[in-house]
Amino acid sequence: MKSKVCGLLAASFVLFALAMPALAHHSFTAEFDSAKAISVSGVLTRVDWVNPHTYYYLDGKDESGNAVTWEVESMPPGMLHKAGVNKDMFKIGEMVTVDGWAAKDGSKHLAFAKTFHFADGHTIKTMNDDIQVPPDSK
Amino acid sequence: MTRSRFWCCSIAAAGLAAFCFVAKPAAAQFGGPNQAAIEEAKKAPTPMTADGHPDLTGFWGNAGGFGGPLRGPSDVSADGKTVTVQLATPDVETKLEAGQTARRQQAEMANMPPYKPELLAKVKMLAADPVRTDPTLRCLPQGVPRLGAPTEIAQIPGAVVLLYANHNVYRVVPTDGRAHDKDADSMSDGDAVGRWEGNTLVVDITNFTDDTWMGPGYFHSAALHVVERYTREGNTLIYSMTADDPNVLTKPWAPRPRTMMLGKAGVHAGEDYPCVEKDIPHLVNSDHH
Repeated sequence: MKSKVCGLLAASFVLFALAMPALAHHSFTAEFDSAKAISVSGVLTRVDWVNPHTYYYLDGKDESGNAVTWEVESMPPGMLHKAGVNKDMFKIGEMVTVDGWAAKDGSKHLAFAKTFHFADGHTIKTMNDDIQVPPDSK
Repeated sequence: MTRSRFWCCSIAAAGLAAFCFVAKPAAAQFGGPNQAAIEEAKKAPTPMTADGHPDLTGFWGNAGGFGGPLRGPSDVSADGKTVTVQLATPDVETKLEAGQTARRQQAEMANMPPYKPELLAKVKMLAADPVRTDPTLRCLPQGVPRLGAPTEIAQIPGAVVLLYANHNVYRVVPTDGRAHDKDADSMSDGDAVGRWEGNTLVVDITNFTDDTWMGPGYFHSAALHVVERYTREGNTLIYSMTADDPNVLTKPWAPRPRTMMLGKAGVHAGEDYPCVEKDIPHLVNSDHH
């Protein structure tokens, strides 16, 4: 059954941050490039359901066919849970393709997730398509 | 350093409510419970323990540290657009439009610790670049007093157990009259002993490490001395704190007390997810929010 879980988690994150005590957090723009969309595929080998961000590790291949491990970052587990997304929705051993954005520091195999695509056709989308970055942001 | 926000497109959302995080009401975002609700909750009888002290046991809800005055009572206008809060200075009241982050920050500055003038630049520097300086962003402890009021309290004979949902922190405060442990190692939460003064639990805390903050950029030394007060009135709990550190402050810091309301029966502080920091090696600037 195809299903699409759409989390407006990024917008919620702003509200979540306001509700928290005064604890800062780095911004997306400090680490990832909203102008560099990428898509990575591989077999899911590990999921770290931790704060401040969840991580997903995919064993795949790079452009040259070499085996690589992709590290994909996503939203905090509490936020995902509130949006109906749980760790058991990501099954170790299954083939996953992730659309997202590349890291700014040149890390070749690090990305921030927008949409997870699963082999049976269902998706989990954790970010909206357009990240509107203020013009003075680097 | 450029400050930026992590923006997303607007919440169109009604049809996606099943999967979307539900925003808290404005009052919860800007401060504590509604004043009218607090007054009503105070009218409930205050439960007492067998030894004649108020029983602080209960779930006291979304806790959090100090760092601004916007933790006290607030009132939201009927149209939801204006939040009236009381600042640390008792005779100052301000109205903020919901979402006015800049003005909220200005209000919070009115409640900062009274640092020695020669240290203000360091406070400002630390607060301006938290992604590189704030220990909590490296999953290190918040410590006392930054932890603020507890999420839940369990009061047992001879001790009070304070539970904090964030980062699975607990503190055990003996109330059996013992003195501070002179052989204890210094800790981020310090060494606490409690005593009753009338109906108020007074918790005296010393022996801190110096690697935590009291709030955003609010560093301290190992000479920090904190006194917390917990007073239950009906179904409310008033939490206040005084922090003194003669090495960095000109006088003790006493942020505005917080008033919390007793949560529903059967609700308990849940376990938090573990904190594992992996971003810092990849950060290319200090953008934060």
